[in-house]
Amino acid sequence: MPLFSPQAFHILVALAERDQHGYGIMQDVAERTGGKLRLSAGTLYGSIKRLLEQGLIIELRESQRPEKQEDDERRRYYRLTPLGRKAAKAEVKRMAELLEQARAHGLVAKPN
Amino acid sequence: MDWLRSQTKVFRAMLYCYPAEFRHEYGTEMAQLFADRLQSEPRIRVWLEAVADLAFTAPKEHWHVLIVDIKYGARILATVPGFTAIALLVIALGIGATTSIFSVVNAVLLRSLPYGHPEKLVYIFSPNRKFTGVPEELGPNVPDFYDWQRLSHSFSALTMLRARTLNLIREGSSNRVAAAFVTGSFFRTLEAWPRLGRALDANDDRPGHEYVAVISEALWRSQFGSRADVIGKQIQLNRHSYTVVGVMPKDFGYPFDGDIPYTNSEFKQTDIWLPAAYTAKQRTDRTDDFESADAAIGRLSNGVSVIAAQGELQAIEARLNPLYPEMWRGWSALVRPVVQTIVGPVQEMLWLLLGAVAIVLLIAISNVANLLLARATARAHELGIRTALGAERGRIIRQLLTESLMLSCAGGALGIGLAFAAVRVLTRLNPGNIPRFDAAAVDGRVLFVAVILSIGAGVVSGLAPAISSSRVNINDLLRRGSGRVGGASNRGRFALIVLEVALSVILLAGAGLLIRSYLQLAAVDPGFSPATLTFRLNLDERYAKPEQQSAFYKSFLEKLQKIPGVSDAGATSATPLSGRESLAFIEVRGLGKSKEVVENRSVTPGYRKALGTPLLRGRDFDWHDLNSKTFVATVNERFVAMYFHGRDPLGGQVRIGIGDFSGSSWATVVGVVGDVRHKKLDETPQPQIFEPADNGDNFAIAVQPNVPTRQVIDRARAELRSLDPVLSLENVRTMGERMTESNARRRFQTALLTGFAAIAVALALIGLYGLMSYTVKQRTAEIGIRLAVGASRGRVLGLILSQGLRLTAVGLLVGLAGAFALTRLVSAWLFGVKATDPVTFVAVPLFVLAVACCACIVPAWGATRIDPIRALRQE
Repeated sequence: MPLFSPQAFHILVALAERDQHGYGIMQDVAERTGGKLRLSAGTLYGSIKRLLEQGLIIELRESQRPEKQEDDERRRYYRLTPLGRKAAKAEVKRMAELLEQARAHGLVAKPN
Repeated sequence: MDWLRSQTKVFRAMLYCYPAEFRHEYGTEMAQLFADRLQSEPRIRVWLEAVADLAFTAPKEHWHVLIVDIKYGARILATVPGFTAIALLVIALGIGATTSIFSVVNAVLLRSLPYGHPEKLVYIFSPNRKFTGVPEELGPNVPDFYDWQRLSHSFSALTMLRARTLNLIREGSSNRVAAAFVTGSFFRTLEAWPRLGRALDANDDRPGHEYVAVISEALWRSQFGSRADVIGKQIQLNRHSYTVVGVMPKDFGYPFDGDIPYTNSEFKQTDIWLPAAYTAKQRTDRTDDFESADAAIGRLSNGVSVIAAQGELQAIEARLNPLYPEMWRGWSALVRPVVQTIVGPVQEMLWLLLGAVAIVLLIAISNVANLLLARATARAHELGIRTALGAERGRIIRQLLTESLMLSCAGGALGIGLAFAAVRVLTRLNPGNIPRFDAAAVDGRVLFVAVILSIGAGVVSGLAPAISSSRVNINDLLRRGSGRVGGASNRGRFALIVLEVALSVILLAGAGLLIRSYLQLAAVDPGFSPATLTFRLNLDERYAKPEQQSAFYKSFLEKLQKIPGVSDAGATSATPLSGRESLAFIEVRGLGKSKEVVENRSVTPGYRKALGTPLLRGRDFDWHDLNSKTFVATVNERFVAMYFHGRDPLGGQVRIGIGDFSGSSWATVVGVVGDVRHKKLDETPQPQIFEPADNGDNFAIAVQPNVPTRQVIDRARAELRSLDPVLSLENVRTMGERMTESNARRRFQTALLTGFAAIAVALALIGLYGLMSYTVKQRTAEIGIRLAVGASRGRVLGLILSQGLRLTAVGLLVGLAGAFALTRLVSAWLFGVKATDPVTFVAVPLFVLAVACCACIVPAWGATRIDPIRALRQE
């Protein structure tokens, strides 16, 4: 069973590299999925709310925000917590194992 | 960038679909994100995605809040198990009672009849203006029916039927079954079709072709084990063999008991339908001997009103009247919707019960509201802290409403469980012939209503307490500590108690009046002995001649009289409370004819004694009277009072007739007997005249037993078998049982209303007790001071008692005013008491005051036990 909904997992992935605000996460996800997954406002912030409640991400305080030129002061930034990182890794491991099993059964096309 | 701002504004408005908390937390961000996307992506796409996203995620967010609230609520409710249990019980009682009664109303009044478009079906009755005092709902004359069929244009189909009981003889044993002889258009008129085989049609409805039968699903199941090969099988009914051609679906059993006005059947429903197959002579003959049927039913053509159909039929009847002999003329037509006719008599009773049970629910709701108000005060501290921590008022109201909805829905679920059980009990109470009463069940519609009521109860009972307690003043709270906030809602709680008391007073007054009526009725002298055993005999074609009938009854009565323990036995054309009737006009020689009909009875010698009616003057019939050249009669007291105008009835001469008296002979009155209530126990006895007779194909027998009834019945059955093995005893019942049946509806109604009043009083009592305990708690400090400065304990007791009784008194006054206004609604069911019966209206307030005293005494006693020192220290 997946630990996260696809949306939540994508958010964790987007935050793995750097702290981001909501719009940034959305763009990141859209880019990585080639525009296939576009997080709408309700889905994005609903997921963020749940991830916050579970302690997988935190909202950055004023002092923790990025450097001046990068900072978009209207926005709220989020950061992956160590727990969130652990959870995301666990999920990746689970997916990798699944992929491995599928490959062993000849379900995965060989990379060209 | 005006467009951007305005579109973002629209989006922000849409965000109101989300829970307030979520909106406040993320609304700005979401709007920002939306605006960003609008600038970089196709607008249509952004909008479509936003709407879809909203439709999906807004309910999800609400759901999350709900789950959190429910978990929180469950934790809170678990900390106060007493409160929770009482609230659940109160709601369960209210919802359970309402649901049970509604399921009866649903079965009897709302669920549609198993006929196509039942609203288009009408009964066509044939009243005759010559018959004063006779119900207007008379069955049709057979020849008239065929002329209606020929001449009228108001109906798309017309049918006519006669209901009878027949012996179904299978494998040597015989069973009584209810049958209906119907014209060929019966099934087409009702638009009811067999589940197996075919219906009867015009082809069957001809003499020589009539030996075919359609049977009910119940009979198919019990007699034929639901086998499909029943079609084509032969069944023997009385002395004829019929071929089964069809089986009706489960719900169909027309006519059910009570479907045709003024008929009384020993059966709940009809099980066999046979062609009436009237002969050409029967279809046209209007001489003295013309045939009549039990009911005619028409299906109104599209666009034809009941009034129009009645007008047309009345015009046709006016043309047909001259075809009758002079004495019969006066026929008219009365068209009544079938549905209204069937449910009419019980409609008001059921609505009354539903009204009563709605009052119970209202009391339950106000009780829960009261409990919640008290809880809210106790929770002022918790709510104050939540407010101080930034919880919004709307959020708190939402939380509290969730809790009251949890209570009401859980209570409602319990109540629905109660209703399942209660409906079973109700259907066993057998309130007399209420059509389809047995079918009462908690079905989808009933469940739906129960759920809606539960939710409604939660909202109504929770809203006011939620709003008032969300109005926490933090300053107050912090300054004065917990427990003293929310005092403003006391007025609301007092008002609720006044309402509860008032409503229960109304119910009590209604129940009191019905109980009084019931007692009055029980004390009434019916004019016969309840111990008398009665049964009927249906002599078949072998006893066509009067001499054969006489011989049979004479020998059977002789045998009955020889049964040990039987003191008297006799036969009559109609026993009291049997639903059978025969009416005629009378003429007293020298004093003129009666304007109204009197009840005339043919009785054998010995019948009066067997029934237990007293002989007041003169003598009884003896067997010589039957063969004598001179005719004799006896009359009852009421007859003497109405027609002898103070003259001595003994030796007076009377004769019986309808319209024309020339054919009937004068009979000499030889005795005066006591009055008998024939139709119902709550009617005034009607004038009766008795003639000696010992023939009739459908006599009822009355036996006065001095030993257990069972023994007499067994012996009577044995005697009948020895005389004629084919015949059977029907409608075997004691007069006492008939009285019970006759009162069944009244008893049902009285018992239910009394039950509801009892629940109402109990709920009001709980409410009053709760309020007084709470007030005492609230006034602890004040009472402590009073005690400290020397008030006696008696004085404190009086203080609390008087507060409770003042509230009760206000409720009483309001309730009595309401009762005076509303008891009119029960006046139709009252017997021997007025709607303003002083006994009831004195007893009810006394009872309520006594009960209120009990409810207040415990908290008041508690108040006297308050320790002044500790109370003051607490302050």
